[in-house]
Amino acid sequence: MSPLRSPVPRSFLIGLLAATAVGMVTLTSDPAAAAPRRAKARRHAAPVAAKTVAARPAVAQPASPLVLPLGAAGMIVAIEPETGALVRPTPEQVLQLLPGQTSLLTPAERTGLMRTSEGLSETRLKDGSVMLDLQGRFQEFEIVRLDAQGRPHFSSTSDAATARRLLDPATPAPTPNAEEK
Amino acid sequence: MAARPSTELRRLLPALALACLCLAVSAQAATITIVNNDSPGEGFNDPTVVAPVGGNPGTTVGQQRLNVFQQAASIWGAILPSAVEIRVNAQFNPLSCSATTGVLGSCGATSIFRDFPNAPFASTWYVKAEADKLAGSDLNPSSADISAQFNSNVGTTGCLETSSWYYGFDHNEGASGIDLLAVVIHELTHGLGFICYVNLSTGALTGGLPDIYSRFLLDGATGLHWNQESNAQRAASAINTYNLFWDGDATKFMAPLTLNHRPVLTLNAPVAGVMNVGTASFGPPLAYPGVTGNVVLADDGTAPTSDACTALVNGGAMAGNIALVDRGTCAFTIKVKNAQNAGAIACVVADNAASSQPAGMSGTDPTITIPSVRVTKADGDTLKARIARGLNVTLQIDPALLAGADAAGRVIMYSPNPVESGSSVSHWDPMANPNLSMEPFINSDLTSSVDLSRYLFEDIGWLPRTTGVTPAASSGVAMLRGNAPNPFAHSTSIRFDLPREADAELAVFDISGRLVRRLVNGHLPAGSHVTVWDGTDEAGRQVQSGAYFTRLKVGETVGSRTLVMVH
Repeated sequence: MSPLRSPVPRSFLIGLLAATAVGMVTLTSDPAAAAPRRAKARRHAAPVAAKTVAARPAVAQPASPLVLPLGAAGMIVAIEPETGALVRPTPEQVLQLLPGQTSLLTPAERTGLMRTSEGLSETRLKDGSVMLDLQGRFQEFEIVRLDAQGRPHFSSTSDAATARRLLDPATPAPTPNAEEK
Repeated sequence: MAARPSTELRRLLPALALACLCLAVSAQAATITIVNNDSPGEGFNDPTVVAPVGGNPGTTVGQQRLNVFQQAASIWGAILPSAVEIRVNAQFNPLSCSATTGVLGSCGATSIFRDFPNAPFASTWYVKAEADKLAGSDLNPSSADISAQFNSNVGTTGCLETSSWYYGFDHNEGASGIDLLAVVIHELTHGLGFICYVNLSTGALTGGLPDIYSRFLLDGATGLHWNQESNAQRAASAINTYNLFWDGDATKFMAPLTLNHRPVLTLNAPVAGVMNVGTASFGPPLAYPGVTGNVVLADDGTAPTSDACTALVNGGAMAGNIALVDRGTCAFTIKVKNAQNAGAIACVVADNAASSQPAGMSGTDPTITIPSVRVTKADGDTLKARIARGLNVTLQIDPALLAGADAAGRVIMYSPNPVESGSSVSHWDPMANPNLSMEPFINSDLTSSVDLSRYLFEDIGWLPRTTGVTPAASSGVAMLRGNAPNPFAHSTSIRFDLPREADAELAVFDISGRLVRRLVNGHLPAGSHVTVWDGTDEAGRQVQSGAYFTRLKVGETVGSRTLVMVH
């Protein structure tokens, strides 16, 4: 276990470990999957770039990774590399924490799959209009999977978990909408 | 269309209205500009020489790609009126991909606006393109309206290598091709406003305020629109399958003219209920009136005995009844053929895996002569539980229901459980038949039509109101709702509502105003009514292909609609 470990039950750990000074992060709440990630973090983490702060969730959350309650008290924090101050992680950092995200989606795709306005700022224009720059978020994705016959099956999604599942070659091949058996 | 005071010209109003609409829209057609953000030699600038294909005259890969984007832009540009240029930042880039799966592309609005000049609703988010249109000016000239990127690696080693983009305009992509035009139209439609900005897992609104799309989402459980609900109510509604509707007048008006009637399994007395079914690509299609019979569980004598993969051993009980068989082990055609051979008059296949919606059944066997359908595992279990007490059902096309809409004619939104954030709510339900361009799964039979999306955009304020539906109950007038299918080949169902009992006359006229067929002439109770025209005249002769008018006359009010018969 990392020396930055919090004294709370392992099953509730949510680690936020910066692998580099720019805040690469990794997350696990799965003890079985945690060990290798922690080992990797020990090898690469900058000494004070970030640390883990974890807490018991106040309310049980659904399994979908995108419902992580950003900014919820005590859930996830990051340490600002420059100052050492505890700060709320950006949604991008939280997305990077999700298991499998880094291996299946590019950073731009991860941003596009974000469905939260957390961290976005409204701008009031001179005419009174209010603008919310989405910063590349809320994109609709089209993903294709080929079945055993090489026929494409299309899915529209903007959900990171769904995208990750669809893109994972380990996910069973799609079956036609109208199956033969 | 609500019935209105009669004039002779009234019969021609639908056609005239359409012509006026076309003129009006073309006069204000939006300019949608594709901004090529690719570097020289790649993406839209790929110099690889290719032959023109499917109406795309480009002679390089890059030019063909750009032509496809411009084709999609011209389709929407011809429909949407806007004095403000709509700019789409577009790129072809290597996106996540493997041999069998990959990101084809993504698209979305760059920003959203609220409380801009002329905003129809205060404190309501609109995508930039629509906000600009409504405001009459570019609210943020420094930014494009939409960003889009597509995968340049499709068809290359390691990326969907057995497939490839198809750049033709004719949707003739073949079995393994990927129709870029259909995908771009779909994605561009999202970027123009076919999108919900609610966090579907929590129900939270963006910045605590609704978007214009959410204002038209009707929660069938509460009877409230999403902007009237709490976060918890919205989150629950997002996963309430078949119970989330688009409550816009224009879309509702066009639904009967777009969607076919819904195939259903109706449970008859003493039990009651209706189950949605998947249809088969073999055997006769469901009809109205349909096939009615008692349900008998198949038994082929070999475990699992109810999968009907071998000849049935309970033919005596099965003869003249409807077979219920389990999915699995063998092809659907084998199951249905075994049921048919045992004397069944129809066959119901119960899924063997849980799903929220019944899928279809494919296969080919020209010797199958009985209709067959597929139901979900849950519905199959329900049927099995009731067989012992006697179960009588009807398989039919329900003339009062549309495939993809509720009983009130509101189109059903995609709301699977669990939620598929992004897919859920921001698409029509796949139950829609024929397939629609904004279903969550792009289907191979799509064309360049934007079908009901155009009317959804009318609902959210993109277009001036050219259609309208006023519920009969509240308007107090009779309403001719149109016919479906339309165009039609053999018969079409015509729907109309009466707010109170009345003398009603429904008739079909040809283009010159001559009576072709009187369908209804009598005193009818209040409510929704459906009648079928089989394409014959008063003498029972088949009429020629062409345009016809239906006219509903109730008291002093008259409404008319156009029908098109195509042999």
